[in-house]
Amino acid sequence: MTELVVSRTADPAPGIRELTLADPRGGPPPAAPPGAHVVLTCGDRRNAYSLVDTDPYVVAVRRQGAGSSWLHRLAPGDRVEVSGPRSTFAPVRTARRHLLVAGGIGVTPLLSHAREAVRWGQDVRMVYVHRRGAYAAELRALLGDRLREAGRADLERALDLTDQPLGTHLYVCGPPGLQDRVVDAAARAGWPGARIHRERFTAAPEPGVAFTARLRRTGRDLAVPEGTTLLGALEAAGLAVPSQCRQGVCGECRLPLLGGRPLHRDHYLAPEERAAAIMPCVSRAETLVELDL
Amino acid sequence: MAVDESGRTFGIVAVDAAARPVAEAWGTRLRELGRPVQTWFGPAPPLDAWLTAARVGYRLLLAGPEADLLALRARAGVLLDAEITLYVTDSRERVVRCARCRTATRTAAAVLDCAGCGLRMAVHDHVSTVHGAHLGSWSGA
Repeated sequence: MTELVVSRTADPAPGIRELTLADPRGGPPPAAPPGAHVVLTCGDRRNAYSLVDTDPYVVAVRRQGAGSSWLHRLAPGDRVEVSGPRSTFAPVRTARRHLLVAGGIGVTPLLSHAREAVRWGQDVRMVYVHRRGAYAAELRALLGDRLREAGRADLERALDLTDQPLGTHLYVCGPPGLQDRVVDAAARAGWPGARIHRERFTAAPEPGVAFTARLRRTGRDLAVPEGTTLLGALEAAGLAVPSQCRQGVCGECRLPLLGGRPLHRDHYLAPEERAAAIMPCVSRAETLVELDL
Repeated sequence: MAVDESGRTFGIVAVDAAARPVAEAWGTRLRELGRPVQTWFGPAPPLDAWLTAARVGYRLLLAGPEADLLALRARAGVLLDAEITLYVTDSRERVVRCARCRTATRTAAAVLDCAGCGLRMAVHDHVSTVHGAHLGSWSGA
């Protein structure tokens, strides 16, 4: 963690605050590839934000909860704890074309992708589905007719997944429903999974269905209703599970998993860890999950 | 061998007669599914033209001797492994790339003389998918 200072604030769209974060000692922040994110400490929470720009760090914060509201109150000169950059959504260097699909505030990592592609003269196309249009003017100036803007209803008209040159990689960031639509359409058009890249955490996870958490050590069955997180249900039952980001990013709330059919929705656990651990802040179960608690 | 049905359009190559039955079975199945298919029988398909015209969703299905498939795979570098199916009908012969002069020699032998510089080479298991060839280096004798 390093402490950066807010050097500038701006409002690129209603409800969205942009923070420019500089090193108080001067000099550039740790290098980060396009699509990287950082975790900001906002009061008693830690939220992950994509970097809109990487030198200096720029984040765009949509007001949607306690952490983001805390960040909205920051003014130039205030200090923020910032994690090192993490890269889970980087451009593929061998791509013949980068096809970027952004929905709403999901535009933030893809803006930095677009800038990098233009800087290096790479083939880039973007479809931006939006109402409030954060960064739309900047993208128009950057991409010209390589940018298509659309509303939710006419995404399919703006995005032709059957006419992209071989070697294209597809990057999607936005609300889960929009991401699913794009990924499903790409699969129907024959895109292999290795050409499809999603960034999930900017949007709140979907509520899911009710399931049971079986606590094997205490021999209790805990009902987790639709719309309640497993972490929330454990806390309501008096189990103080340590947590920080509550977005499946930081790893703090990791719990040992003994069985059941978990639905992992975090961005922390490696595939080989998922048989024996679960992040209760975002992950759920089909019907039952058994925990070592 | 079952055909990859996840693609939208397909190119099929049967390099030799032994590869023809499997290539024809692939083509039959894909036409049943209503998928556009282009087919080539023989060792020199117009791969560059196919790949320039193709769009993402394309799958390349290759059947034939290993040495030919490696060479074709090397020409289709724009495709990911997930977009290529290889069906090897014969792996006796290998193309060996000389570590000294870079000439490719086709052989069934484990030790051979390079067709370019005459170096006595041992054939290694190491395969370059970029060059479509096994590595050959001085055999030490």
